[in-house]
Amino acid sequence: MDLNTPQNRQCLISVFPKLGSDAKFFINSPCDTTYNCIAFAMGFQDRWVASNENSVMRVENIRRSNGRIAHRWWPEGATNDMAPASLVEAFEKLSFEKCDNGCQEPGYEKVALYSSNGKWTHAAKVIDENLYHSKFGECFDAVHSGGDILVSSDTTKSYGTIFQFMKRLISEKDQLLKKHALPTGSSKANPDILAIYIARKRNGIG
Amino acid sequence: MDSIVECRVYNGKTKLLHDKTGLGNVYADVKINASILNEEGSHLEMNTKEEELFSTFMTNYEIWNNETNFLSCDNYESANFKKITALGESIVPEIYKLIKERPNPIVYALDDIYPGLVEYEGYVSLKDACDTWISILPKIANV
Repeated sequence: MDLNTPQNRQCLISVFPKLGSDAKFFINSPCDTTYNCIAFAMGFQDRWVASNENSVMRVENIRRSNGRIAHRWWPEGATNDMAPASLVEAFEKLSFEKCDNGCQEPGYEKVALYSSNGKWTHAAKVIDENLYHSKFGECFDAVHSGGDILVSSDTTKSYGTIFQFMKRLISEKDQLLKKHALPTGSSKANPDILAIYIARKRNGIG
Repeated sequence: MDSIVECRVYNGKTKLLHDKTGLGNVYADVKINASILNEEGSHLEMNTKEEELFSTFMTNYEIWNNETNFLSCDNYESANFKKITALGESIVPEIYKLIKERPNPIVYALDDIYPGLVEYEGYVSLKDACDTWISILPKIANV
């Protein structure tokens, strides 16, 4: 199925106008709410990787008993906030290390980390020096150029600019992804307290 | 109370127009049920209060989606998300329809509407969160 249609392209161009004149811009896969840009850059397609502390602080009822949003995964031990340095830490937990640029190095895969207004916003796989591959939130993934191509005039949506390149040995990738595999069979929400809730409702308490 | 209510039928669609200026502050409490026969002889029914609620929900939902569907974080900080949850149980049937179509981050509005009803252990995928609510809602809401 051709996803690189004018309508789909416009969907991304409307947010990131510079993609409109990017000869490398090409939409590759359909929208998928399962994973996001950070997950994609780390090598996961089964989870949403994001800080799960910051944004829930002001939405009390979305906070879980352990103070987080259920479908957000963050590497254990990495600082759980929106500071750019915390995103670097998160990638370091997946065996990435800082590097100076997006030039290809034999045996390594590279990622580019983006920030805007003092917060991390996005991560992209670096395919070649100026050819990146990004997942756009819950929407498409697409290839595009590097540089400031993902700046938007709308600061609430802008991915901003690259603040850090990181690299990881390709030979370590599979082992790391296995190490961080999601536990099977335990990823269910627990509606056990439903009975209590219904009882309260019936008694006019809930 | 007098009010102007006009029904137009065109292209198989029914549009109910009503002048709410004469109703003043009581408009929100007015419920109009209209039932007419369409070309096939079946009834078309409208409920103005439900229509307005649906319209408010969809407007806020679309704005919220447009604001956040490219973001990895901050999706639930939007004022429009809070406007959605502020509508309360009345918009649960619409949320139910959306999460049945596909796993949808709007599912977390349900945690705000029914605080503490579902607890989550460990990482729970969006699909699992939606599936859980899909199984619960028919028992507690008019879906």
